[in-house]
Amino acid sequence: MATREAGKKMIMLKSPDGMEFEVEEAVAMESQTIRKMIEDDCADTAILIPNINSKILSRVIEYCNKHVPTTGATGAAASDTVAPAALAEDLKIWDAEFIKVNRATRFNLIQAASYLNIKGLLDLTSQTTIDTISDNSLEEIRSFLSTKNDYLPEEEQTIRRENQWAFQ
Amino acid sequence: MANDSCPKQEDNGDDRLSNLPEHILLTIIDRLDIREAARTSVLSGGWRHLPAMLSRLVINVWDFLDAFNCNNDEIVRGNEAVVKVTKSILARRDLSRNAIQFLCMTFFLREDDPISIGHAVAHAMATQKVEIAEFIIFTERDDTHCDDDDLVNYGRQFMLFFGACSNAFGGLTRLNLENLRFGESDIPNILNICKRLNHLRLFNCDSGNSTMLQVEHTQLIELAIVDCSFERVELSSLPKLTRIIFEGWISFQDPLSFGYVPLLDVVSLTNVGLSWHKMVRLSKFLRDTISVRQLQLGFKSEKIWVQPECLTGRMASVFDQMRFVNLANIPEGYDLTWTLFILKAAPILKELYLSVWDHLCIMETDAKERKSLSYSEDKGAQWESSATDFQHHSLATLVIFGFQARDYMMNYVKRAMQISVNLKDVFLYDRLTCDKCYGKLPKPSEFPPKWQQGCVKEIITKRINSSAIIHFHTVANSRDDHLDKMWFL
Repeated sequence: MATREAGKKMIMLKSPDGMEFEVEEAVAMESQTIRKMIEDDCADTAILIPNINSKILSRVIEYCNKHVPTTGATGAAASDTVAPAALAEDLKIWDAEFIKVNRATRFNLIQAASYLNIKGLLDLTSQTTIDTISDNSLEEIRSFLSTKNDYLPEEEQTIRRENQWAFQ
Repeated sequence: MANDSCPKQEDNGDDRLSNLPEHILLTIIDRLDIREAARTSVLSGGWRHLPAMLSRLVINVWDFLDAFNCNNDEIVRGNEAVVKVTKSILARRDLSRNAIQFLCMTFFLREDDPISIGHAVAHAMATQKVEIAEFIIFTERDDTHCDDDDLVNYGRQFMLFFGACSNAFGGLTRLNLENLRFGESDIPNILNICKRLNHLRLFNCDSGNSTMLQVEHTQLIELAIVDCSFERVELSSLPKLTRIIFEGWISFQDPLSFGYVPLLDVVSLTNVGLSWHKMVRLSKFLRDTISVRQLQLGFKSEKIWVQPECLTGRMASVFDQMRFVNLANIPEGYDLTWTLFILKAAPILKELYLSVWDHLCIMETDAKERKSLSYSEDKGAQWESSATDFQHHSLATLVIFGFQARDYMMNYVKRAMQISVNLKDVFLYDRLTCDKCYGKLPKPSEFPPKWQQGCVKEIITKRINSSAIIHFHTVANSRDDHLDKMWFL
């Protein structure tokens, strides 16, 4: 339901497990997917966000709340004295805290960020995963990602040969 | 905070990442470097085909050689690796899937390697959409070791490559070349074939002595011409050009002229001003541009080559749109009052950046050499106008790198604060440093230590009425956006 609260347009987001979240339109529009729905006028009633449970959705909203660009008008006092770069620095620290979650949550967040098309969150979650892939041995990566090596030994040899340059 | 909200039972562990949909795995491995990305194919069957679907392919020769011991053998080895990797990656593309969003190839101009790379790229372009395609081409000798024969040879080699791979060049959107001497019609030919090009950088390239370069292209957005000895460069018709970087010129006259460049937004001009260089009058130099909003003038710690003018009315029209001006590498120890002419001419300027720096590792310091190469000993500039008692209503930010608590600088800041009645912030940084310069500091820096900063502030703001806040910072703790703007990124 698009309602108004204190002059700000509100949007209702609904998770498949039945929870409803009322958020400012500007916050919801951090998601390009939702932005498109709103712009195409498909957002009269609550927007159902499939595949994202309420726990993950609330984290995503928390992220968007933090990252929505601050508008000068009402928060003028703050934005005048706090330099943009200082804010960026704060955000980095906040992000680093935010992403300290267990692996399953992070993968859920990646999926949510991908579906909702929130570039910053996708960057953050993917990069955190990448940081574990770089500079680790394959065994370590496998164990970290809890990926099982389902190749037959000769299969693995073939693939290694095809990509020999990458293993030198 | 984060950990509380994700209870343990959610972490059921079992092969979670591989269970993610393929397009998400791809967005993850697209961020890996090419070697790591290729290695993920042995993780498990689910990962097997992902490298063939990467949308970002950056294959860079410097990743395959020892850059610290970069001798000829290393270059041969590195370039061969690029050829092998390019073929291996591009030959196994999954054509039913993703387009290539970004393909960037960095390699040396050496024997037939470029042609092999070019053919592989052309094949990829013919079978799949490639959104952004870039070549960054190095020559075996760098610019400091190249003589005329090398330039001619490299030029020929490049044109052979170009002739053999025109299909690949036809699909390029970005091209970076160095150390090439072209024939007269080569560059127009290249521009003609590279129809999709929107970024071109030429470094130390020319077409022999005293030649003029005319640039016409319908798609070019960014053009950088650095240390190229053209007598003159004419931007004849570049309807989409927004950014020109022009650095190092040999001409007595204005070395660059602007034809049809309706969208030009950013102009960066850098030169070592020698004593025979004619002073550049910006009102004349930029008169055919209508939309420049950001201007950088670089001095490389040598003579100020721009003539401070007293501009009014139509003469000042080139500054009408100017929002940002960066005066880079101004030599140390010279009066800065001249820079105020820009404030006077540019009524809506928001940000003024100055960096004052005797950057020793790029400067010629040998007195004999300086004389024989006509370096100027008096590097300063004077503004004839006595009319510095004007007011500027737009300037919000003044940033000075290389601030020192010396009279001429403190007076300058005072003056700028007095003039700029709506100034909000003044950021004063200590001297810039560079890794190569380390250990050869020019003179000791007189950047005020913490305990002195209050006193310096007092001197600057004494008897003036300004609400601007002065911030002292070391470069090490500088704000990223200030550094970016100072380096003009």
